[in-house]
Amino acid sequence: MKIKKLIKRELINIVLILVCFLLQTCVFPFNKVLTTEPNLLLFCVFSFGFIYGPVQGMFCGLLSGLFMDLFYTNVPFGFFMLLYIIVGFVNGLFTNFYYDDYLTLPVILCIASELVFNAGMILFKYLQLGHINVWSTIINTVFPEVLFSVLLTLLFYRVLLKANRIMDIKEDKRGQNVA
Amino acid sequence: MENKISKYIFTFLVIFCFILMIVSVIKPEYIGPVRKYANVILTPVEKAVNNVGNTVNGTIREAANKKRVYDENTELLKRIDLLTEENNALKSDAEELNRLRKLYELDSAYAEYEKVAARVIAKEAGKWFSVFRIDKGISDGIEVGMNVLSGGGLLGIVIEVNNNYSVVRSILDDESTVYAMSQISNETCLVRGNTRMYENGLLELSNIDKYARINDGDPIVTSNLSTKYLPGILIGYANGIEVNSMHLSKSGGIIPVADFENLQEVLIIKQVKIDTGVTVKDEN
Repeated sequence: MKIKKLIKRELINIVLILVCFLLQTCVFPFNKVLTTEPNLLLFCVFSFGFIYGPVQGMFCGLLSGLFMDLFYTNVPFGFFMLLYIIVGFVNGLFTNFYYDDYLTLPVILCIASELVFNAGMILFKYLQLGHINVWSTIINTVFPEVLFSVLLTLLFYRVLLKANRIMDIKEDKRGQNVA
Repeated sequence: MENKISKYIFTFLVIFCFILMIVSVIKPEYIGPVRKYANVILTPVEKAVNNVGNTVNGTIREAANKKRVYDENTELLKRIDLLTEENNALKSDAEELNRLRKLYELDSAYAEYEKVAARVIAKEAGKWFSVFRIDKGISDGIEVGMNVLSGGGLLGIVIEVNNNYSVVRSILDDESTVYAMSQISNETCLVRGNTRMYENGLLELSNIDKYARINDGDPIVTSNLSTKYLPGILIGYANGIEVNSMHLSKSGGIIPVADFENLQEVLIIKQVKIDTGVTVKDEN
């Protein structure tokens, strides 16, 4: 029963990550109303890590990173995987401090995750180009993205949590019926 | 217990990623096919999602623009009459021009290239890179090195092709450099992508001779010297040309003609520049 539940959850997660990836590459860049693009995959990785623990976080990170690595042609293969796995694992370590309906820690973790990810990107760009204007990059690229992600966390973190809880209750009930 | 296991997994994965990165840098040919096959499967899905997304994006934009469009429409209807008249006059002029060109055995510069239209289906997220994907590939006759146009100006170059898609790097990307010249004085310069300058809508224009007669507003086109770009394609208009602090050369910005914000349809010139033997080292 437990394995079945796990497989079902993993499948849902894989589909969710795929949807986020497609939104992030095929839909949001073409929207002219938004000035910045949300990093949905990072949001997924960080919230899964935080809710389900480091192993799940790393799994999501691996998957998200794989999609990104397959897509981005000018980045060494494995670069995004590394970034997302680190984010998933570190957020997973905080799973012990996870309480329902408690929003301060998720927001702090979200900001931290964004900063780690963007620091990685800045480092990569620096290595690629040999020069980079860090200050203007932070103001123009990093800051709007972080702001957007915090907004995303405030709006959707609870939704994700609630969906997760409903799923848990359903599974438990079904389990009891069988027993 | 679980924490300990997860730490081992983490260490293993990090090492694994580093090995992958090193392999992909040293031996790109190992990783290339993996990317290729994965993308062959992914491209149709991307196409479909892009279609749906465009509809949604369009609806959002429509709602936001309805009032403006209505006003614009009434104004434009008025202008159509005016333009039809003007067009008729121009048509006869064009015919005359064609006749005269034939007489001089000159052919119109742009129309001579065979072009094919393609749709942009995916773009790399965020502002880190300016690389995007179009829905035409080898089966449509696309080859690496073909020039891509949008909105009447140079947009970029095809850097990777596959059966059903290809990858285009726009001239906006930090890695892109184009050898160009002023259409008026024929003096050469270099157009570079520069993320920082693009925040003000500009690309970087550099390597202009100190005595070159390139002024603000001059049309800049691709140069004959370029090894990758066909000659005479309009890139944009020079802006803010200044003599450098060392007084050795001039540099400034260029306002691109191509529309980088509304990337949806692009034109690809189905002709690859043949290497003339002149190599320009700086070009990328």
